[in-house]
Amino acid sequence: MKKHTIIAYLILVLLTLSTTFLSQEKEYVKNISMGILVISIVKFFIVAFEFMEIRKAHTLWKVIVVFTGLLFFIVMTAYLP
Amino acid sequence: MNHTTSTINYRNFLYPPGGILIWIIILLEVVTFLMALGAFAYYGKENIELFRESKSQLNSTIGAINTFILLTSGFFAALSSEAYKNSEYSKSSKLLLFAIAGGLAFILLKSIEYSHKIESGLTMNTNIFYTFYWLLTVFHLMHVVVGIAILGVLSFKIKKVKAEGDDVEAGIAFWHLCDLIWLMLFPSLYLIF
Repeated sequence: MKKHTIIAYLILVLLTLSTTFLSQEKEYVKNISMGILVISIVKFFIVAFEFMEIRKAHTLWKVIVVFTGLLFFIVMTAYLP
Repeated sequence: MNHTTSTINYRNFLYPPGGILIWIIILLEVVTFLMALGAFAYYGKENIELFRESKSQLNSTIGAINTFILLTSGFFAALSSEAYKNSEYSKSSKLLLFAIAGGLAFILLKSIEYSHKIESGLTMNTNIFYTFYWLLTVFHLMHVVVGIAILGVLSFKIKKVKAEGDDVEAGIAFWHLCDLIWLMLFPSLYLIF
């Protein structure tokens, strides 16, 4: 059992808890939403790079994954109220 | 005959972990969900109050538990992949069963959530928010069901030492796709707006 896989999993759980608590905040909704999206992108990258092992792949695959994650962030933040 | 993945050079663009075909599928699926989420966000800005009110009717605790379940399931799938590469086939097969259990728990919890929504009259025709909610989550759930079936076949084949290395990685990559999609859906539907 690789140590970094366990660490990645623990970080994912902590980030999930943090987004859930953040979402309870009723003020600064736009900033909170941005924060939640940033955390979600980090989780997206952890799953792709650690669990799916894209860190071992050709650089272009890493760029495609990062671009896809950023695209999600841009799409969602562009229409945030 | 069993083939491990130890000889594959992942640095070659044509051989990402799991193979290029599964990654083409993963990208297409993610882009499809991204387009739907783009439309969801667009309508969200057009109907801010409606979206806020509808979102408040969703149970973010259930959503968070489901996220935890899927991530835990993905963790077991990643461990299974590692065990397979170390030729620990029995361990790899068992770890996949834990991953499947996580998938089944996700379906169970989602079913409970769906039944509450239907009982409350919150169906696909209620409003534009719920149209997206049902379309996106049911489409994702279909992926989870297919993923469970794939993991089930893989677990059986690994146990019988009949699995191909590429198939194991591709099947597990598909399971992680369910994680990736949910990681986009959870904040978009349950947390923001």
